[in-house]
Amino acid sequence: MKTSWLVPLAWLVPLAAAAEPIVHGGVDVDELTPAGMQRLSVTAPTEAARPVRLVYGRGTTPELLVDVRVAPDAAGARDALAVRRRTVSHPPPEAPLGDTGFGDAGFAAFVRDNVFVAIHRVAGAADVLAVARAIDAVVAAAPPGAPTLAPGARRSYDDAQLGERPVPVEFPADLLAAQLEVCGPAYARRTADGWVVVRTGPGLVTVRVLGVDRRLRTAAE
Amino acid sequence: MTRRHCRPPAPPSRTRGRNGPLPALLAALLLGTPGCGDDDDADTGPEDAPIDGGADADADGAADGDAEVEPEDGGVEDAPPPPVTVAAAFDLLAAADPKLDGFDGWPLAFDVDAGGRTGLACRVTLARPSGTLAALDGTLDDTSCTATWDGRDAAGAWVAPGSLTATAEVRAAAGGETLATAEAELEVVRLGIDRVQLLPGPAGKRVDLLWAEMGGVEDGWWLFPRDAPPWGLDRDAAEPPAAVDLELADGTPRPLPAPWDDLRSPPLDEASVDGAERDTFNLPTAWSAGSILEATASLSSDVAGLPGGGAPASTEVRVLASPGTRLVGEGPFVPGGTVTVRSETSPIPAVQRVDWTLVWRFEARQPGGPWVPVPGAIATVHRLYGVVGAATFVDTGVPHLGWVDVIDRVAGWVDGATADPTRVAGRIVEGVYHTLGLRYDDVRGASAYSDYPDGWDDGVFFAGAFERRDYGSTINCSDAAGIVGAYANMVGIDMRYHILTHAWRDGFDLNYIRPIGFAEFDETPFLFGGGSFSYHAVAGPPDGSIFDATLALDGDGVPTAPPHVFLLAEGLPPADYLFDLSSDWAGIRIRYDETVELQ
Repeated sequence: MKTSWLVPLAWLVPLAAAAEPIVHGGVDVDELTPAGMQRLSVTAPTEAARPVRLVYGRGTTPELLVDVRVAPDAAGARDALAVRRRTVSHPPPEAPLGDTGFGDAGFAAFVRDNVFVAIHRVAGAADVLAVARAIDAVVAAAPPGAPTLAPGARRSYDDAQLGERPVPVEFPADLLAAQLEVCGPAYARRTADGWVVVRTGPGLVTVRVLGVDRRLRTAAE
Repeated sequence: MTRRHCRPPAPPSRTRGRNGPLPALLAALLLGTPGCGDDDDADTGPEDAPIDGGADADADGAADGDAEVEPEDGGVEDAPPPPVTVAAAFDLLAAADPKLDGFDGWPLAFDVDAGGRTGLACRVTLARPSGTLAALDGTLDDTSCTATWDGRDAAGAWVAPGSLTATAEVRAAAGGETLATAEAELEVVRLGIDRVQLLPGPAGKRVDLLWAEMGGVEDGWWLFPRDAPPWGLDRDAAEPPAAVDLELADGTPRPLPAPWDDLRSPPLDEASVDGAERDTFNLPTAWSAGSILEATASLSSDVAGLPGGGAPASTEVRVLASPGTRLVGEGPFVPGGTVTVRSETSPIPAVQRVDWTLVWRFEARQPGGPWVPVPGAIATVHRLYGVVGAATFVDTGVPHLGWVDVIDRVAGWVDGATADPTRVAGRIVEGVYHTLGLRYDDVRGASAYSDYPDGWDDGVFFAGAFERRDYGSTINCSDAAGIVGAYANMVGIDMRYHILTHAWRDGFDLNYIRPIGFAEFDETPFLFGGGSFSYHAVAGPPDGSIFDATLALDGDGVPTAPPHVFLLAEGLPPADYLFDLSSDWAGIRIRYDETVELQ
């Protein structure tokens, strides 16, 4: 009996190893909104390896913080999970979420393929585990595809191109949110009409857009 | 002002003489009129008296009430009464600006020698070639004729800058004949300040300030550099062309800006290059505590429709140091020029918020004459923040600077009590713990505003989101350490975050603690039990002492059991802190020593 039980298992191991890992081409942000809530904000990370922060709530009160990292591969997603778990002072137990995950009614995090998700309840009474399961299903159903965006081009401004008057920075239309990385004597700030670069001194200024698209993909590192 | 000392009109007895009116007339023609040579009123003034034929001398004498000795029989020479004289007072104010705030009238003073006469009256007339501006009944006493002019014409309108003549007349009585006159040249000027720069003097430094938003747009950073003037007065682009820095188009003095107190946004002006108000503004500045300040005022004499039109022309004006300051160099009032004063002591000796008022007063004189105070003043109020120093983040530039809202908050917490970094950091811990309405995440102790994307390195604090409470008010220790660290860094304290972990176990036990937002001490901050932390984050300076706003310790020496003595870690030695925090204190290691990165 033992032999007959082990043989099929032995067959399965190489089969599983041979299977191509699924790499999702991101997840549609509009499919992540928990029932009864609305998305209050999306914050792009300042570095590609960091998660995108989504905030949900009823009305204007934030209730759920959802961090999503669409990593280039599963290893990247698991790294994000390990990092996140460390910052929870009293981590919840493991839970049947994704490929691996932990959580309870107040906090949950998991990895499904190349996607890391963390859900943190900061107000209200939403069942975080139920929300996590719903998001896990969305991730699992997300189609394969490119997990990252092409790196944004760097733009340089000399003293003549960027003077006292701030210069608008155009974003690709398909970006959901973005941050600007500015090198040189200048800084970026948001206005009602979009981002601008403000010079603080003479010298070359270089700007790069760090964006996230509607599938929560960031630029390749 | 030019003073012209006028000879008094000769008393009737002197020119009347024994030979009747003819010699008197000749004398008058030869000597000129007894009053000022340019007296336009010569035909109606006192000089008419000598040539009135003398027939009414008795009547005149009766009306004058003077000391004239009446002849008894016409055969005896009358004793001439002493002459009445009037002259501009030595300290007559030569120039003034009736539009100065607090201007309470232009004191016009003339010296009078009544020659022993009584019942006299005086009158001061202010005129230009175009006509009389104002006529004032003066107050006459034994030695002077004084009047106060409000700087307005008969219609109540401000008199435009320029020279004018003040004529004092001493009359026999109100409405009576003029016995003496004197003139003085005065000058209406416009004395203003259209910019004030504040820079450090021989001690201290000014630091950059940052608004985190602009007009409600998050991440709308607006940097206010430490070398930018914080106070300005100027015409807005939307105003009519006649408007100038000091005045609105109708000549009304432009109101001085009060200190800007919106902590979330600078003042806005769509017409400026960057959307911030650049015309008329009064922004706060931040200084290392104990700084000596130098205030440099840019001077202006602009009047509506005539830039520079109120400049002193024939007079000299100088600026006086505000109380508590002294002039750096000279203080001549020269439109387009500057004058600098230096504080005698630091107006911000500690970490605090201060509204520093500078009262700019003036003095005027004729060239070579005595300086005379000009009524009124310009009071500029400047909001100053005392901080420990410039921001201490490892990262530089926006947003790693002192945020106005944070500095204002910390200044309120410290309120001038100290500039010592350790004590200031302690006040920050107390302020965060007690006043921000935060509560420890009693579910899992998960962070809301912090992230460690690379192990425990490169800790990120979402400062902008926190200031807006974008993610609510439930926090964990990393958030609290981020808040304390970021706030401390912003006011110039070198404060880093540290991570506490057990050296060989996954987490450590907790003694009785009282987490932020909790009312009682407990062995566990968590709803579902579990009196342990997998890690803990605190803040501290390079000396290793611990600052923690996440929780209060039981500081009675027996932290494992009631009763409890509330103790916030405000610079506790690590060993003391760990002993109070955990019964596993011997196994806890304190690692990492980094400033947070703001996002």
